[in-house]
Amino acid sequence: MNAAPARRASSSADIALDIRGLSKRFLGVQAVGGVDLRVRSGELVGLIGPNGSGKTTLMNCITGIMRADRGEVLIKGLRTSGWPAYRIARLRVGRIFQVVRVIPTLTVEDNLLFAVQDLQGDPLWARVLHLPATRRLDAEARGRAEECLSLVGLQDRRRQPAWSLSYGQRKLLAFASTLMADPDLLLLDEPMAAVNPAVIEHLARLIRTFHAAGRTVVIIEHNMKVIFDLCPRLVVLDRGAKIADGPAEDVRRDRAVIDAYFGTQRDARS
Amino acid sequence: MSATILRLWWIGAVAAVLLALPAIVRVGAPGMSNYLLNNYGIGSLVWVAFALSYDLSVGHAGTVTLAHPAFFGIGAYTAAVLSTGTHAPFLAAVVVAVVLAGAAALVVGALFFRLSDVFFAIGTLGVAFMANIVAVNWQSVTKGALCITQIPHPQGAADLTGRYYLILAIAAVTALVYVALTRGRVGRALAAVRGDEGLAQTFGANPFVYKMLAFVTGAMLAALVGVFQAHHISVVCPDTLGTFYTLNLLIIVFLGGVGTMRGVVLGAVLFTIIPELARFAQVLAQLVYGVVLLVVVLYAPDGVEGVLQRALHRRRGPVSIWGRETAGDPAEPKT
Amino acid sequence: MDFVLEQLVNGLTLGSLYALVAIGLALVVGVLRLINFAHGDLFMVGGYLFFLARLGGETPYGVAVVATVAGMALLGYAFERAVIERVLDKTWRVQLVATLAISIIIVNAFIYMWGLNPKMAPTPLAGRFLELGMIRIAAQRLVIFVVAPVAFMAFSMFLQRTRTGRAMRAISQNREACLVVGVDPHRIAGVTFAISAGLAGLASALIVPLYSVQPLMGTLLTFKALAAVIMGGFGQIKGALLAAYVLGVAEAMAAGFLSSSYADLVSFGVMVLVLLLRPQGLFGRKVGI
Repeated sequence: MNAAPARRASSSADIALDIRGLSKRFLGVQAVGGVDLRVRSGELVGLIGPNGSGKTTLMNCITGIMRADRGEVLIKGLRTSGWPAYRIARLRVGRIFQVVRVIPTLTVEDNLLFAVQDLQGDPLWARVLHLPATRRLDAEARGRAEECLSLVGLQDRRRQPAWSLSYGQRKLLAFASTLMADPDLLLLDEPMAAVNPAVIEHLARLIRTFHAAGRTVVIIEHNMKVIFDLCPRLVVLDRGAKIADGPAEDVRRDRAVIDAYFGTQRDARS
Repeated sequence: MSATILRLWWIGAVAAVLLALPAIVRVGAPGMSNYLLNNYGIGSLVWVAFALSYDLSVGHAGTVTLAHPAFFGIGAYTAAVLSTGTHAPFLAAVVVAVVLAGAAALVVGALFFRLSDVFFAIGTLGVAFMANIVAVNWQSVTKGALCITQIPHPQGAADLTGRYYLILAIAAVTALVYVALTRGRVGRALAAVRGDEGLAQTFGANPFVYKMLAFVTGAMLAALVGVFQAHHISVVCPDTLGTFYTLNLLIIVFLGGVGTMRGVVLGAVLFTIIPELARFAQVLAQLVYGVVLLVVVLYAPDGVEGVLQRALHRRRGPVSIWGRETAGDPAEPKT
Repeated sequence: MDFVLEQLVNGLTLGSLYALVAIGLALVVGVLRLINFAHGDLFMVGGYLFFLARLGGETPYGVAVVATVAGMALLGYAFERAVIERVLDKTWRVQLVATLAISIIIVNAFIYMWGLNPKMAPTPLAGRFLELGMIRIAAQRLVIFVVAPVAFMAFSMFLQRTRTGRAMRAISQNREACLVVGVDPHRIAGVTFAISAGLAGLASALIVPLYSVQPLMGTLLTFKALAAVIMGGFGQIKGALLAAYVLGVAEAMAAGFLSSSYADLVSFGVMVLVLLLRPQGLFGRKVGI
């Protein structure tokens, strides 16, 4: 993928994401209870589990939208518990939301320009004064934006305001924005939800290419076909606790996982 | 002709008219020229500058502040006190007022931007009330309800024409700052913060910084206008600090087109001209404004600018975030 | 010492006023998710209604109170169905500006109708003073101290025991679930507003005899009610109630010991303090009213 700058060689000893004993209670429910999770740099991990098992809450705690009650989150070795979301994002952590979110009043192109600008570290006063250096950064970004838009097929819509896009197109825009921001660690929350099979195929290809360039990816999904196709490793949550973690083939056959999804033993008891 | 050249021609034409306005008025309507220049010319420009400074916070950062008149008041009272007490020159009053207003805005912002949405507005409402109370009661400085009077006109711009060019310069400065903050990277960041603050954070933007930038800059510009107004009408009273002017600002911004420069300028000019033509009694005017504001914000929140854009570009959707839900709500699909 | 007691009595009077207004606002906020910037003006309208109901002293006080409360409740219901309904489905920004505009309309309409001069509507009890120990207080204040708690208890029982009250509490906790179960949101909205208007009417019927009524008296009250609601933990009735009394007493103490003109700054200062130190309000985050 030419849109990305050269990757640094990542040793498998790098831990991209390290979650220790994370617990979060809200709205009167223990959404996440004592979860440990270690993701090595460059892994592609699927995070699955029945509805309400705490997957999104876990992701929210990682990205800083929520603050965990107990436990720690370490991203690239840095303790990020309690950091505001934007600070975590600047560690090159990307997030795609369950219900797709874009900046509605900006054009498609401007959405992408925005996606990368606060990760480049140029000072605010230079931006206010519209210095040539800032304008040069924008010009370069525009070039990259064109490439990212082509990858998702939105290049013809670059001047359209984002609110005029259909749901599927917004998903593609969200993906393009994330590509633009070029994170090292990407968290996707049900990326395949509410889109048609053609777009699913497209997105799956994008994710694979993105991962192949050396980035770490964690995906929450309910679409089992996609997850089993994409992810060599699966982590399963049920009611806030981790009940399985390992190679996909093993996890598929794990008794506890099957019970969690189909509830045979639980239902039989009640 | 390309769009940019067309725009430059347009700006040039407007600038030429504005610069020549005193002469035009003197030739075109010799008997009424002072009245016209004062009430329409200077009046519009004051509201243009004041409203643009307000729109930075409301239309671009998306933070509805009800404390804006307080910063205008800081400017007005600073100028009043300095020029009646120490005969300080206009420029000195400007510097002191702008610094004071900026500092006050920093404090208010630091206190209240941690609060989300409506709570911020409530906090600023309190600030407006409190500013009014201080202005009324700190009589040793502000002379309370008796007002500070006999403020001299600015030296070097004492006559009406001089003051016209002064406010024209101030409005130009305001417009320039507005453009600087609403285009390019800063403009994009403000749009992101007002459109979906959580999403903006996902891309590394610190919403607090951008909200503060809009808020503090707006406050300083409002103070600048306040300094002018004090020297222009020569009287400063406590109600400039309260919520009185907030209604006017809201009407201008919403009637004209919140978040758009053309819309806000249009709103300011309309707001100056129409009451002059209609000559309502004070109370009835406020009542009508209230009704207009209510109707506009409920049914046409993009104002005149929205109507214009829809007509000119045949857009079907809203122009601003006020015409629709913000984060997370998908629009009707448009294939 | 008796000076302190006197200020305490003032504070509790003020607190009762704030509390009756604030719990109405907390109800609207909790059930309708609407922050009504015109809420304080309900108190002002109630004041004029009371003034009219008294007919210059012809109607007995009790009758006038009932008439005011009932009248405000009806007005509140009608107002909600006619105007507020259109605001409920909008974003918070639109609601903010819209309710501000409504406040401006109401205040200016009343200025136009009644002028800016305050109107007095005294009652015999307001003029009669009782000696309690070391202090003299107007009998009207005793009425307030008795009636207000009764009103709170009645309100609480309404919320706990009646179907409508329970529906309101349910809506404030989970709106979607209630709609699914078949709760009529329009009727509930109307009743919610009617109750909050009635409470404001009661407050004005109790307080106006002691002071007076003029069109601008609602606007600052809106802010103080908002402050109480925020301090009490947003949308929670009990929190707003307690916070209102805290505000009232703090203000009276400031007026007595510092300066009466700066007393209003107290509510602002207290609110800022609470927000800084304990942003979830004095009572923490509970779901629902």
